[in-house]
Amino acid sequence: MISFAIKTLLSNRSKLFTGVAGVIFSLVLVNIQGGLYLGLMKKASLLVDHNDADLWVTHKLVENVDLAREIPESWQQRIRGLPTVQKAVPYIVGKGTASLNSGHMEDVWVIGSDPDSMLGSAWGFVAGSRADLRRPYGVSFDEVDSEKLGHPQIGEWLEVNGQRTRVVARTNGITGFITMPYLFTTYNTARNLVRMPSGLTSFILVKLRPGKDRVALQQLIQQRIPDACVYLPEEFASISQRYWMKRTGIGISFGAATLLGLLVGLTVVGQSLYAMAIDHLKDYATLKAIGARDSDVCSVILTQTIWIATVGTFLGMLVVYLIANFWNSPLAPVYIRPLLAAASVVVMFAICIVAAFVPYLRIRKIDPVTVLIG
Amino acid sequence: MEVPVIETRGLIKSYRTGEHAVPVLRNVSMSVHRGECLFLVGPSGSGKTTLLSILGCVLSADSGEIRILGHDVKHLNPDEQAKFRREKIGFVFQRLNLFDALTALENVCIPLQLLRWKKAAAVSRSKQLLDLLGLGGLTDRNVTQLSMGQRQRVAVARALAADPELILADEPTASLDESSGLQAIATLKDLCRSLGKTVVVVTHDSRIFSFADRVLTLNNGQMKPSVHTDSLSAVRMDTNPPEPAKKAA
Ligand SMILES: Nc1ncnc2c1ncn2[C@@H]1O[C@H](COP(=O)(O)OP(=O)(O)OP(=O)(O)O)[C@@H](O)[C@H]1O
Ligand SMILES: [Mg+2]
Repeated sequence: MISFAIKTLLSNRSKLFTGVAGVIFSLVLVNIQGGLYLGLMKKASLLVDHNDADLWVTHKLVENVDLAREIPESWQQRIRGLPTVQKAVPYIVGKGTASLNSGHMEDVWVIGSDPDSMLGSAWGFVAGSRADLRRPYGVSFDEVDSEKLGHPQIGEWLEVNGQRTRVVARTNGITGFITMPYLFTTYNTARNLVRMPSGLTSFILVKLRPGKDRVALQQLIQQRIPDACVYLPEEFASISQRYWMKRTGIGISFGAATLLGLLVGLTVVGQSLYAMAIDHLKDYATLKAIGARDSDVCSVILTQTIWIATVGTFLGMLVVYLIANFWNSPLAPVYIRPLLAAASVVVMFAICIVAAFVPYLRIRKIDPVTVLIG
Repeated sequence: MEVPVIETRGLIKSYRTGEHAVPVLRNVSMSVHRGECLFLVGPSGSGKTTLLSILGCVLSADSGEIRILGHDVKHLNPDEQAKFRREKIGFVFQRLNLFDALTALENVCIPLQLLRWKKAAAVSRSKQLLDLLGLGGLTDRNVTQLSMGQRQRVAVARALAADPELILADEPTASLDESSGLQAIATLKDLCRSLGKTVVVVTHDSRIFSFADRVLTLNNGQMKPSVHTDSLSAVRMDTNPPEPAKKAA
């Protein structure tokens, strides 16, 4: 029955094309929506994901890496004393206001790293380097924010919170969920820029000795400093992402768009399978008249729907791959996770099978006597 | 004593149209013997196709008895009817109903696929049948690219594919010109005779009556003796089954 199914399908090009297009459209919509959503979520945890720290020590009430709360700097000494700790350094994430030459003001996010390790400092340099950030008042900015900052050139001064900084490096691809320009610098410069009160800091980043247990140390620090919250990077990343997801409801809007994509797929595939079945009612009636079982008829429709799903999936994922690789920008990153892409394919197949149900019911109803009378 | 291939007694069938039940078959009794080639004739609307559908287990009678190949098919459920059709009955439909997307060979293979034959076996049997019908060179041609007469022969090959004991044909020559009509019916009859099949043909076509072993006439839902015409005089006409079939006991 397989050759009957496929030949019938191929003899009906326009409907086949519609069905395949439905699958492609649906898969692309779902994956690009999902990819944009994940890309946005990735932005929410950008500072965590690009940081080599093994543990993040934060204020109890911190819900997001960009919105830090002050903690005692002295915690780092208490942490350094623990046996498996290789390094514990302070890290500043704070807000400032840049005054541009044009007279405009622009809110910026100042990130300050320990100057020895430069843990959590900028990446993706297109001009300058991490080492340049150690120069007095040296800051880096990202190309994405160039316009917001009035197109600063390397070597130029930029005023932040009334203090002078020097632009020493430019990066590409560092843009966060909060959409404000990140300025990376060293810890002390950042302290001054954001006017951090003495004895306080934003986070303490911990590096473990090689081969030591992260979770054990996490628990140990938590015991020693009950006022702190100690997170593994992946925990802190997902906390930061969830914060924005809850606050903005983007999960719902992306979810709705994704659902819509699946619904469109269901409708288009169902419609084209149904139209195809209607075109071939005579064939199905004939099959039944010469003794086909319901299962034979079912296998014909299933074969057709799986064929449509397979071809559509192949082409759809190709389009997704092209979009994700060639249309991606740091502002709207599309982040395709293989597992999610695979899940979308599974869902698509399930949808195609569901879509085959209505035509199947229609064909089941055919009375073979219509072949002879009627 | 051999069991008749078809035996009906007092078949009654009516169609419902809205409130009314329109009687189509009123008390049809007939019997057909193995190897016989029976023609069923009668005016349009007399119920020929309805009777053929009941004989082919596609339609159920309202009442009366019916045994096909010794089976009481009246009480079969739709699944059992389908099984009976694919194993025991070959159909040649009035409009042929070939599968247009398929080649001649694939069309003939379908009944065998329904019987779960292995592909190679199905192909070789189908080729053999198409050869027998003089279509050996056209097996891979799409059926839409064949002449009406050739398509007719593909339909006959498909009806014979599963080696059924009973062949039912509804107006098999309706769409053919005279010479191909005569040729088609001659082929059908020869083939069925040599393969020992029983054939029931519904037809209007008086040109082919001479191919019948026996002609039954249906009029207004009842079996009636045919009017003897010159062209039919050679054919034995009766409404009752030939005596030897009657149960001796
Ligand atoms: N589904 C149906 N519902 C109602 N009436 C029907 C139905 N099918 C057939 N009939 C009627 O039953 C009668 C017999 O139909 P049938 O098709 O058996 O006749 P026939 O002898 O084969 O005619 P023809 O030679 O024109 O093919 C006709 O009057 C027809 O209108
Ligand atoms: Mg008829």
